[in-house]
Amino acid sequence: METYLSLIVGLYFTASVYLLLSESLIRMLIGVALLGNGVNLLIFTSGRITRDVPPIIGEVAKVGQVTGEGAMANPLPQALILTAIVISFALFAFVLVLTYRAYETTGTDDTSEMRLSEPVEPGRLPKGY
Amino acid sequence: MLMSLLEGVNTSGAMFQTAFSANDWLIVAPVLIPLLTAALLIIFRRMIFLQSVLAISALVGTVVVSFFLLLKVLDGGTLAMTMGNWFPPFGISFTADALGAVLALSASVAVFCVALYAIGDISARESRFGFYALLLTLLVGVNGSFLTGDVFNLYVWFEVFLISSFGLIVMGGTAKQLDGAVKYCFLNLIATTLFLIATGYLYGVYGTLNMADLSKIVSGVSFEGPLVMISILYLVAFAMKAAAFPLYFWLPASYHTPKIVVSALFAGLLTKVGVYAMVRTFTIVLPPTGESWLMQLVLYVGVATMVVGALGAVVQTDLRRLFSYLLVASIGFMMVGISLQSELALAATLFYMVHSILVMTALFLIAGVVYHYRQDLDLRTLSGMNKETPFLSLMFLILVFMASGFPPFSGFWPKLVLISESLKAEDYIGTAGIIFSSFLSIIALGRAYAFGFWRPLQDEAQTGDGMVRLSSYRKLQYLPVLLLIVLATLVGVLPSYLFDASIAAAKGLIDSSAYIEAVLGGVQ
Repeated sequence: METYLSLIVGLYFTASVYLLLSESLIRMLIGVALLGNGVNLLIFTSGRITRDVPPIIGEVAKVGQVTGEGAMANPLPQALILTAIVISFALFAFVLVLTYRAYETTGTDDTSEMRLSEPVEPGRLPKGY
Repeated sequence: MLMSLLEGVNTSGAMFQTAFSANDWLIVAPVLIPLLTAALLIIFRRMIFLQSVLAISALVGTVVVSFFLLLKVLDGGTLAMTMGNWFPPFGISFTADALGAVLALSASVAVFCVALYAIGDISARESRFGFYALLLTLLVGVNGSFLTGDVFNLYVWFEVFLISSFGLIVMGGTAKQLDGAVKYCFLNLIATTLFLIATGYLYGVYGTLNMADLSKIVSGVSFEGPLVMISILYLVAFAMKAAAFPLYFWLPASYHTPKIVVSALFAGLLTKVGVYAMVRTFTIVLPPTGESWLMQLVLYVGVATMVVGALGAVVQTDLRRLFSYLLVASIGFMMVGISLQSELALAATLFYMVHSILVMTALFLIAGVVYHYRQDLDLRTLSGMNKETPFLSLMFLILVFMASGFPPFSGFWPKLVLISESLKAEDYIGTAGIIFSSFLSIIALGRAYAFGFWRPLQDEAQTGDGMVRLSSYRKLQYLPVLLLIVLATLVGVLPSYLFDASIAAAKGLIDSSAYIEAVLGGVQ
């Protein structure tokens, strides 16, 4: 199962890198979203997959007994993913609004035409005075 | 509720049974104080007066607790506290070693100075928009990064200061600012995602994310296989955050667009967090034992960064873009220090980071003062400042000396140590790079001074009402610049205090046993 999931993670990364290399901001946005999802799947896979078991220490393990009796899904990757999902959602929402505002203000969503902060012909200092 | 749930369960094998002492709380105080104040500021965001007063008093408090934390760490060694009373590595550890404590203090001082400057610069509207709250949360993220002892937690702090910086960089909302902000946001978002990818692999391979625990596990592993891939991923992610050679383009594209007070804040803190993460990762967490080609790579990247950054600075005409390129160049010096891996070189790296935090913040803030005089930072038209304000001119000249690394100022000592260490290690490329880059920085900064200040006034229409524009509030803006200059001068004239602390930090980085003991010691 981990092998298949790794391949899917690879597909996610491939698609997102392809989209991020594009010049259109909308494609780059989709690339960022795909990258975030790919990472979440990656963390989930790296925590190893266990079938049909909840990430909870069962009744058996309570009261003084050694924990880990019986199978238990790894809860840590789930906690990590939950954190990462929340963060990437917030950042994606911000970048989405930012991109829209930038499109409204600069009139383009093509990164090669967004040269306001870096003028093409920057000008030189005089050689002396 | 929790207690009743745990009743009858023997937790002595998983949790600390005693409550934390006041000492332990000192570790989280540099994060806790600004965080709580930021929450208060958002609640009272309509009370404009309260915003700056509360923020500045919180920052004074943060500086004080960071100072006491540093004293405590220098005195008694690394401190650690694990959240929720769990035994490490199961709880998230906060660990203050000399490296983290020195940087937390420097960052708090820099943010304090920026907040002082902001009083005269931030309008009531921007205050209500949450400038001071974002300023504080940015410090929360930065201090959290310096003090955490957990790799995933480090990622979370990265995101905390990233989202705060997003909020700060778009303040103003002109087309040029949004253009710069798009580049900044996309590239930094990708960099932190790369960091997360590397962390996912790290967890998959070693099963733990606690730095001390990782240090214990990885120290015996030879540098090959998945460890190489993880290290390279971390290097790319942190190099992107720190603006190192092939990945620095976002910095000069965006740092000159936001409000000057914001770019001063970013220049002082953000790239240094990337460097800090690199130092931490390649010493304690994943020490590059055996094959050192990774450190060779860091050396080449560092040399390329310092040369390209300084070359970029020479051709710039906008004062803030010139400083941005100098900032890129300064990252190169730190990377050379990391690549050498010796005790003195690591100490010099930390020294240089503190110097860079103080001086870069001051350089951008003084650009702000110049802007208030002339509404212009273009060196082609800026001129005659020396005649108009000799005092400002003198401060700028001192900052030029500091940033170019003239003795007795603070930039000189770390460069001296780095040159001698790279000669000792027979890394002549590093030596040549440091000397060449410093030489170019002197040219760039000297030209900036010659054109902007020393050159006779070119256009009479430019000047005249400079002092009228400077209202009494604005005169207050000299204060933070002066404060930073005095601090950096003290560091330069009395280098032994900071250098002793840096040596202590470097010792702790090279031999991680004290760090491991501080975090995991109480368990077995």
